Amino acid sequence: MFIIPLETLSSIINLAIAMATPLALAGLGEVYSERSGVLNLGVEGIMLMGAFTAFHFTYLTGNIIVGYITAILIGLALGLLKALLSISLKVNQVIAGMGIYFLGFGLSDFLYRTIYGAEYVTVQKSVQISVPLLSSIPLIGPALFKQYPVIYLTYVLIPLAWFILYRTRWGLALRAVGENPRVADTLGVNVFRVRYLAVLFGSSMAGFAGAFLCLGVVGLFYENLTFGMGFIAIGLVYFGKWDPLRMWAGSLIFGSAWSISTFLQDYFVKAGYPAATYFLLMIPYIVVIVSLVAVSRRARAPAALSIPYTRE
Amino acid sequence: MKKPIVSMRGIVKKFPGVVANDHIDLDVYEGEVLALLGENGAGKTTLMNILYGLYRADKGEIYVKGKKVHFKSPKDAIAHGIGMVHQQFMLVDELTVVENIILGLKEYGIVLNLKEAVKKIKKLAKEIGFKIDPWQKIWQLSAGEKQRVEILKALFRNIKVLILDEPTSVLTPQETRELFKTIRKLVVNNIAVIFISHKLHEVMEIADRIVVLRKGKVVGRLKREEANPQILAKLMVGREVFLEITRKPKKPGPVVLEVKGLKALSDKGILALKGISFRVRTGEIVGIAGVAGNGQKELAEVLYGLRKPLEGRIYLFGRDITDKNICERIKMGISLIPENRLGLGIVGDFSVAENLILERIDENLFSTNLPLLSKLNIKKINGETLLKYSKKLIDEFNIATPSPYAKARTLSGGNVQRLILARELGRKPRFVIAEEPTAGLDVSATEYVRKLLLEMREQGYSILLISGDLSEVLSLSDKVMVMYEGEIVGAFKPEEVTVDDVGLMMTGVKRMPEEAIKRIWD
Amino acid sequence: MGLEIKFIERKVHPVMYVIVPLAAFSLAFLCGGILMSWAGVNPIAGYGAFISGIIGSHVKFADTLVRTTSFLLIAVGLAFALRARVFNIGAEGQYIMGAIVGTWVALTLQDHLPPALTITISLIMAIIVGGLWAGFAGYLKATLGINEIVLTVIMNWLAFKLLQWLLRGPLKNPLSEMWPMSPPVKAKIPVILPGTRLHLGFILAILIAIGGYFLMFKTNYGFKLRVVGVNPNAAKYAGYDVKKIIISSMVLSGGLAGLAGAIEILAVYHFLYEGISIGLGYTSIIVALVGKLHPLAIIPSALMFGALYNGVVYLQSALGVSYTLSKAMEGMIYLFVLISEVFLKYRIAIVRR
Repeated sequence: MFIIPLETLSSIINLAIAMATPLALAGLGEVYSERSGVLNLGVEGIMLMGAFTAFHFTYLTGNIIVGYITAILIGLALGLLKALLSISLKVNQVIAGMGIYFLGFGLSDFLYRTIYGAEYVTVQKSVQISVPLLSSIPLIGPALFKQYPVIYLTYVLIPLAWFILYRTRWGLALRAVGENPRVADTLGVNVFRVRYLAVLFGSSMAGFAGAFLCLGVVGLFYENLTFGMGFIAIGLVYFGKWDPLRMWAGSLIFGSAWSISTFLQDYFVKAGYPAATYFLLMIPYIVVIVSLVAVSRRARAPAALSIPYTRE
Repeated sequence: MKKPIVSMRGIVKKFPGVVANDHIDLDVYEGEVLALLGENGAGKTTLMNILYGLYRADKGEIYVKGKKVHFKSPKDAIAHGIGMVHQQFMLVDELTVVENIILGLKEYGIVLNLKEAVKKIKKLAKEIGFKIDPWQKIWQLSAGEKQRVEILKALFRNIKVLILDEPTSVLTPQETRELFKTIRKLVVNNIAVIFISHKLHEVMEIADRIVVLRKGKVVGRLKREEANPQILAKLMVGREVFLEITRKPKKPGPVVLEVKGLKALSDKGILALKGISFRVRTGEIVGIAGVAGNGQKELAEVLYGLRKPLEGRIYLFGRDITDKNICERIKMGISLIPENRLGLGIVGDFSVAENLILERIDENLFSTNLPLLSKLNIKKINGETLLKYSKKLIDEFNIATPSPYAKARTLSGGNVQRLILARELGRKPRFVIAEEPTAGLDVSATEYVRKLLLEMREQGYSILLISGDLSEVLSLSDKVMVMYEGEIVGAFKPEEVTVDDVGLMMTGVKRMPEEAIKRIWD
Repeated sequence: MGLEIKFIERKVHPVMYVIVPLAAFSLAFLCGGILMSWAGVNPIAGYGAFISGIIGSHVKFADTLVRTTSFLLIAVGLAFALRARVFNIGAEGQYIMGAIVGTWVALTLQDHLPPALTITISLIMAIIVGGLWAGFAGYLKATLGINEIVLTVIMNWLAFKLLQWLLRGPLKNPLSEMWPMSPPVKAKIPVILPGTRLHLGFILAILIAIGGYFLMFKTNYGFKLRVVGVNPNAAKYAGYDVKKIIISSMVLSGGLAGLAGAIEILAVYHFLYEGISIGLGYTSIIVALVGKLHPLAIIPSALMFGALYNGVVYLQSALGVSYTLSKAMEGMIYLFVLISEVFLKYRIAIVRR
């Protein structure tokens, strides 16, 4: 009995987009960072810290905007640390990134437990807003246009980021730095400044993504809230071949896999196989692995990725 | 009297162990083609890198339009109207032609006005006389096209002096002709072109003035009318003083290595070996003369197994080893003394003793069997044999090191080479490929290596000697072959040919007939 | 560009190799003290409780050693992968797989075979499955060049999801409706210090660390592996089979992580549940790096982190500071050690260009 009512399909897509968005935001940041040649494995830790600060400050002030802003600020701070380590001190990017991850993970967990203890605390979740007219289009309408505000922002942000990357002077400099920093340096591009800015953008996006996951989707904070999303975002960057739009598509694939398995869960529970739901939760991760293998042959990383730059 | 647009005075540049530029003076005038002629290591590229701002001279001054300048980076040089096209193109492969050309420029807006840039590109290209598709990505272009992009890049920045470093080394003959047309058009537009090369016939064709460098010094300044290939070759290669080495004539033994029709690509995807065939016999040194970059490196890599050939076969002791991996070839008795000593030849962080058995670690002599684990080829390293063996080699080869356990990177240049020689020769390989074995070594180390090679020859080893030092090749080898652009253009016994002729072969002017070359290997 | 940071290699007095890491740890513990006082606890009392938690009684000390066991096993394995420059971030997943397999095999065999045999077979199967879980990623890296970092991390989450499903499905304890957990595992690894939880696995871990030292520095395999990590070009030139070394290092690493997982079940928890995954696989990366990827130096490093974890647990029960302080601190220790390494190797000068 697999005739799916239109509303359910809409809901599936709606949830898919919502689940994809934190990935897409973090992924966008990482695209910029890696395009400049810096791999930031700490995205997961930054997302967690972003989620926590957003949660905490929204709870304190009751103002969601404050939450988002603090998340971006903490993202900038952690990004600055990562940039110092990897760009200026030339610490191995993988190792430095893991450090940021451990720090972000541990600190967010500790701070949450210490401040909130075992209480079950929630924050006012974002509310979905319907775009007049557009949300009435059958199927696509409620799926795309009855969403959280941040998602509307994403609709604009990612194409804008694509445009900046490929059609502006800054994007050109960024891409050159990630491919061949020596040539860019020769032509007067400040390699270090470009990389610092790219990493800071990436980390602030990661913080923002974490904040959205907490404030927009879940409404509370708990240990390891992001659950690997930061790393999946990095995987999506590979899958998307370092292109913002392709990365976004990848995030939607993952989001759909997640969404579909969630809906299937309901189905299976009703059909009397509650355990199968967890089996279904493996599917999104398998999808990521398969797509990584499929893309591997043709994927070409920015040539200077994770190679520190030294001027002779 | 026209004033030069660029003047370099008293340029000195030293690198560890070598003086690359030894008090060089150079003048460049507008609207002329100045050729810088010399072998590899003569100092041409270093000098131009200094002019372009990539290196800083230890001593000396540069004047542009009469004013003294200090270049901190190519950006400054470009700002003063000096541009350079390197042998390794300074282009970003993944970006398009337009993007590469306008990278770093502010004139085309924050939102890139590519149409405007493309218009200018097309206009300039037409003026200079070639076509280019501005929307293609660099990796899709041929070498000739990439070169044109580099030239356009320079013109976009109002270059008055354009330096071309060995531009024809990656071009087909047809592309070379196109390039020369372009150069003439540039000159007509009053741009000075500095043409670095080691190829005599090209220099003779395109240059207005020629400056010859050898071992860091200027050894000749001529106008084109005054020059001819013989004079230039002699200047480039030098009046050779044959070394005091007595090579006893020997009758060579049976064939050890046979190579048939070897073709291979270089890292850039160009054909670096275009059909190499030769033989090496027991107790024989076959030397390869030639300016570096004519396929010698690729030949060594293919013979050893670091590079797969496109076509052709290699036979060692009669067995076809073309498809065998390095480990198997080593077991069969092949050895390589690499040119890249620090990067390839030793593991700096490991001890001298460990380096001395690097490829022999699996042998039963050095790893004793362990129960069970040996099935997985996991064996215990026999520390005593290792120590004994390394001490023996350190003694035999006179490696100066405080202890066998000292880290290999603490060794001086000459001792690193001794270590590599000790390691390779210590296992008595029957065929040795020696790549630039004396490059960068001091006099006594050089002497030592040369004596060693001759001794090995006495004992019946076979050696393929690749060296940019012509006198070395000519004095040590029983037979010499000259490589030029991936082909063997000459093969002879050193006694039978004049140095001048060799120089002409090395620079592509002269070529021996096929049969004469084939006969040498019999 | 105006100012620039220049790195000049330098040699430091050997004693600095001990002083600087100690300084890094001390700095981290100082920060820990700051966090403690922010949490409303007197840091001196905090440090006291911390230390008492580690060695306060022989039971507590035994627990420290128990915690050390997992770190030791996983980190020794990681030392091999990391030395070959294969970034195995998947130790957590390999550990989980080992725990799953160990439980499953034990449950299947425990009523039919004597416990010693059950345990041995369970451990061996755990090693094999953990090794394969990691070897898969290693194979993809060696043959397709796939980035092992992303792959191994995602396989971690996959393993965890697998765990969650199994606990609610095939491995579910029918008697427990509330918490997902497996039926109890009766086969137990014997305790060696009566009255504590210190078990034979600790001895095994020490033996494996010593064996690891031997393998890494005294065998031809370890030799070749280290060359591959330090200079892959020279390794090729010397004729080594680099692909085989990459894959085998992953299998070894995954096998040891899997072993750690199975031991945790068979010696400590005695049943499988979601809570076995507490990030040991990730922390072990820090343990391995702090131990300079040397199996013998990893022993004190693992001890240090075992102490950290244990002390913090006691800190929570005694003074109410969240045990997650350890997680925050391990991140800090890691970063401080990293930064101190830079200063050990280089003298930093700010130069005008």
